[in-house]
Amino acid sequence: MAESVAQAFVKQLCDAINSLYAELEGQPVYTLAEFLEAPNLRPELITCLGTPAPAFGPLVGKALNLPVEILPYSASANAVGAAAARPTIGLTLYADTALRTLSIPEMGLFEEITRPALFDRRRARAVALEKLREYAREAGLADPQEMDIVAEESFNVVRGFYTVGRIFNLQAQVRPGARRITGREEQR
Amino acid sequence: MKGVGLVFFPAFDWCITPDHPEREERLLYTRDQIEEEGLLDLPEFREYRPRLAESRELSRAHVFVPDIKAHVTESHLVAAGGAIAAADLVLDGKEERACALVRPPGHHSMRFVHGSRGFCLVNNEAVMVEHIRHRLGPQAKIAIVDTDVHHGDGTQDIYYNDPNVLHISLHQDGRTLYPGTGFAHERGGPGAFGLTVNIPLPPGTGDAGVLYVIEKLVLPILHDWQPDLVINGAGQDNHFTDPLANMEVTAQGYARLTELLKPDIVVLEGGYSVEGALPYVNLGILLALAGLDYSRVVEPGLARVRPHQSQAVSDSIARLVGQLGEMWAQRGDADLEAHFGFGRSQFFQRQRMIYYDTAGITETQINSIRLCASCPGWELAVSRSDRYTFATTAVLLPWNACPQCRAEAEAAYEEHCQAGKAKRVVFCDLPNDKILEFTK
Repeated sequence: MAESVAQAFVKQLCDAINSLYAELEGQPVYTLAEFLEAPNLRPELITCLGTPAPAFGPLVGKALNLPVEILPYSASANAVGAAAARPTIGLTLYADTALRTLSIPEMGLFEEITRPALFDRRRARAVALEKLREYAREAGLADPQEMDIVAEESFNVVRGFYTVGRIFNLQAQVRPGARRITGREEQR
Repeated sequence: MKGVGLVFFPAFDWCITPDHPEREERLLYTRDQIEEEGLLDLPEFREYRPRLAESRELSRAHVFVPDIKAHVTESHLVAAGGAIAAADLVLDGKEERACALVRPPGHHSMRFVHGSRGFCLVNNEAVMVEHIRHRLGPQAKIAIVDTDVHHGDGTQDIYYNDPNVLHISLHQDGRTLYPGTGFAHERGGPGAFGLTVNIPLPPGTGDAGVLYVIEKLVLPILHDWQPDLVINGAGQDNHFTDPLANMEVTAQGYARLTELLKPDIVVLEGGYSVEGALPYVNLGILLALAGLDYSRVVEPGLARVRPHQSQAVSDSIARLVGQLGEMWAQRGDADLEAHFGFGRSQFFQRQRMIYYDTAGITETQINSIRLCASCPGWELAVSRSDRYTFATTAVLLPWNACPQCRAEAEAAYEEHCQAGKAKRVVFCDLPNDKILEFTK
């Protein structure tokens, strides 16, 4: 009885894992670059944490035919992860040089682009990162070291038969990750 | 719940040239519209990824000169693969209907491809139709209704002599618009006479005219012919804001057209009013495909202009529909000897000049179709152009070819390979899905 309950649970778990990957792989992309360079997302290793990890980890690994790693202190690994997680924050920049507007909805920011002819992709990236630093500081994050442009699009704006400007749409993010917990904190 | 599968691939990083009307951002505003209206949150819609078409799949519909590598980019493979993915959704029974919003378009690409014509290089629909027939078998009857404002001359060329593909094209009269063809007298080859139906509409045709044609002519023809699948080549350039054409159709008109036609698969063709038309027309088509209410889809341009169809245009469309209806009904009584020389000669031959506006090439082609009483007849075509001046010869063995035509076509291929007059000889054996090639 217990065995068959465990089997059913493992099956559900594996189905959920597989459907998550299927969803990730089936996610629409809209550029050739993304379409052709779709990374292989399939897992090579199962990492287990949580109290039942030592009991179910090997079963899941066997069902998916993958090596399994049970984290040390797996029962409390979630809590350790929460404590070590580095805070992150992101924003979206939308600029239209034809309308001369720049906006960052997360910050409630609307600005005029004063020299639209000079506002190019490099400038858009620089503004997004500069504003992200400001935004992070406002949110109480320590000065972020690593920031990335995580998505970027730009298009011509055509009126009649003439290009009258460019639209930029960027997402910038403080790189998420884990920080090292120092010995002192451990003692506390 | 089965609904509408959407294969959306706007290829934001591909264009012919940056200032070309078939431009990178052509489907940008459509994407924004679909997102903002929350279309994909409705249970009726699901979005799918396209796939790359294989060159083998392209060769079923095309002979590339000098070869496939000279012209085809990955974007063309994704557009054609998007159409195939849409067809598979319907054939696999995953979705009730499917819509491929992909670019670049394809309906001006003919059997021979020396370069781009009318912004098209690979005929997405034809590649898809060949894929469908490959899955369903040679007896499948497929109707293509091309509602792009330009004549679907490429698709017409590929299926001109094919009795299992009905090609109906509604378009602005060829005397007033590219590509300058698509007249009522172009009715198909000796093996498929009457199965090419051209409906050249006068400039200024609006919703009323287009819907009149659909109700009084296209639907009765489809009802009569009973296709297994209906495919809509949905160009959106009949819209009153389109910069390249002169029609007066609105998003409501397109949505109603889709509702009447009930196509199994929709493949996007042209449409260059990227802000004024495409977002609303695409939305209307998608809602109509799913059987949802589209009455509130109103393009902002209607606040400034009121599209209007004159009485003269209405009268002229009514006359045309009457004539074409009669031609359809009497297609079996046509005197094929007078048209094609049945009984007098073994081959029907035509010689054509084909202009490639996008690539700036002129092709000359001599095309002979074997007049056969028991099948559509094998074809021999010799093509040259001012870009590729050497001769390329193609021997085409159609679906449902009779044993005698097969034997003759195989002998002709051998003979042309040995004669050495052509630089390249291609044998398209459609029933066996085999392409043979000889290059000198």
